[in-house]
Amino acid sequence: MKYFFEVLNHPIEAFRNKNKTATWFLVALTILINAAFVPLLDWFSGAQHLTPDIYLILRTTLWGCVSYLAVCTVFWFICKCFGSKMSLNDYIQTWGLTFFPTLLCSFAVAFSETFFTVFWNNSIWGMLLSIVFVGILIWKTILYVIFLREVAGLKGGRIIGAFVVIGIMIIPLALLNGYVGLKTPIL
Amino acid sequence: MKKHKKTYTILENYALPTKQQKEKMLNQILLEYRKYDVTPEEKFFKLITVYPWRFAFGFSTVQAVLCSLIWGTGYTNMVLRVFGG
Repeated sequence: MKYFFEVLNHPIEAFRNKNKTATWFLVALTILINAAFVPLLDWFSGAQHLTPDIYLILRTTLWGCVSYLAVCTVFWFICKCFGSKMSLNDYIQTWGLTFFPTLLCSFAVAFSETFFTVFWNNSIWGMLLSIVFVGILIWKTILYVIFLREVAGLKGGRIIGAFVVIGIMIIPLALLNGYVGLKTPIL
Repeated sequence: MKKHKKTYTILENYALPTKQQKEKMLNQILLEYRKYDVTPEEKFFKLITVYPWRFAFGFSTVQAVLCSLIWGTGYTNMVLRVFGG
């Protein structure tokens, strides 16, 4: 539990300690929420939805793993171009520590999509969801910058360059995630 | 008398910190110094990087309240359409 609080509250120390258990737990849980929880919630909430397809769940889980490896490879390649000396393995073992906001986003997307009509045109629920979604986006961006600084070891102009290039690369990856059925991109 | 002096010198040298210990002490002093002598930029950096969710959701609350006051449900619906699946 200590490590999870560290990831949540002190990301710099968490990146330095590189706790693999926390990384794999966060990544696996996020993928599972996307692949299994979303169709199950869909199924339980309304009669018009079909029974969850186990093949589809397995396929989405596999795509989630592929997406995680793809984003780590993008990070490794771009950061290497900007002068980072870290290995691909380091990126795979640490990027998952930024998955707290992604995990939270998976839950928020699952509920907002399933109960869309409750939130639509409702100022209170809409405002709460807007706080959650924009907050998650800012939180992930903060972790992204800390990651580039602490793990990739980039500084000054290099960090800005890597931030912009990886940011551009993340857009097609996010679209691909949506295409294969991952409602929250595993990035 | 000479023998005592030699023993005393050996003991004195033995009690002195080694080069590694001196470096460690210096690092500790510099670290403590940095804790108390932080620039406003460092303070702001620390505010964001320690408990990053606090800053993120704090800022998000301000923007959500302001934008909802200005644009009403048009804004919240737009956020829901973009992020809400």
